[in-house]
Amino acid sequence: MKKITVAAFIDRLQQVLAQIAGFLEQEGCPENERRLIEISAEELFTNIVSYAYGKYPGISRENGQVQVEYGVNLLPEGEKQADICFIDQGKPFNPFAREDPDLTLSLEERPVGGLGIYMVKQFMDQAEYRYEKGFNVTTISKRFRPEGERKSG
Amino acid sequence: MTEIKTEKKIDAATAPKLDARLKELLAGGENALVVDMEDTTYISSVGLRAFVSAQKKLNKSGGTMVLTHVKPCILEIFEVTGFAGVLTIESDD
Repeated sequence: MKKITVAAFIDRLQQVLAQIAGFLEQEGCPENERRLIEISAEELFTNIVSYAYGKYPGISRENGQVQVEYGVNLLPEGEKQADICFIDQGKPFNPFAREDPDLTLSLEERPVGGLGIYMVKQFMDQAEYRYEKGFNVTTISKRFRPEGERKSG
Repeated sequence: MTEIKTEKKIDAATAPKLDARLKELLAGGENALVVDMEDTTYISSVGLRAFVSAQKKLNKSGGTMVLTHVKPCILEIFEVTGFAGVLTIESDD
């Protein structure tokens, strides 16, 4: 897995997404899957920088970090699976434990929270969370059929 | 009627600008918005919320907002999130 560690601030989002997108492109990930992975990564990163640090004893808002690991596994029949893993040391929080929003409610009745995580669950093939030795470990995976493979450098 | 055009990516970086623009227009009394999404190929939840917030205000004031030239990849996101039924969307497909 490749790895990038950044301060837990929203202004680092573009850097993280650019790394992931560049890597996926090299791996032949088609635009549509790449877009859905990028959106999901944005939602998870945004969640962590918004909620993980600050109000939790131990690590201050300023010292919080997010480690992002990303890689691709080969699957049978030429498919690949992209795995993106977010690791933070903030407040223990399982983003996927939340109930899905009720999409039958009218616009006025619908709660505003939970939309981003709902998108992640819909767009990804797998979305998993575990708390391990003081770290939140949130992993998303999506399969794709590679196109026009380039040699990675 | 006011027409605005959205950027290629409506993400955490650009959505606040879109949100501010929509709020500014609505505060100015505009009640017929046209949003040209021809260039847009990416939208995350923060962008969706900007449209939802504008739509809620327009529902109250009796105004309208039409999203035009919506690409299939964006339409798919509106559908999955359940907003296709509550926003007015004209797609290119």
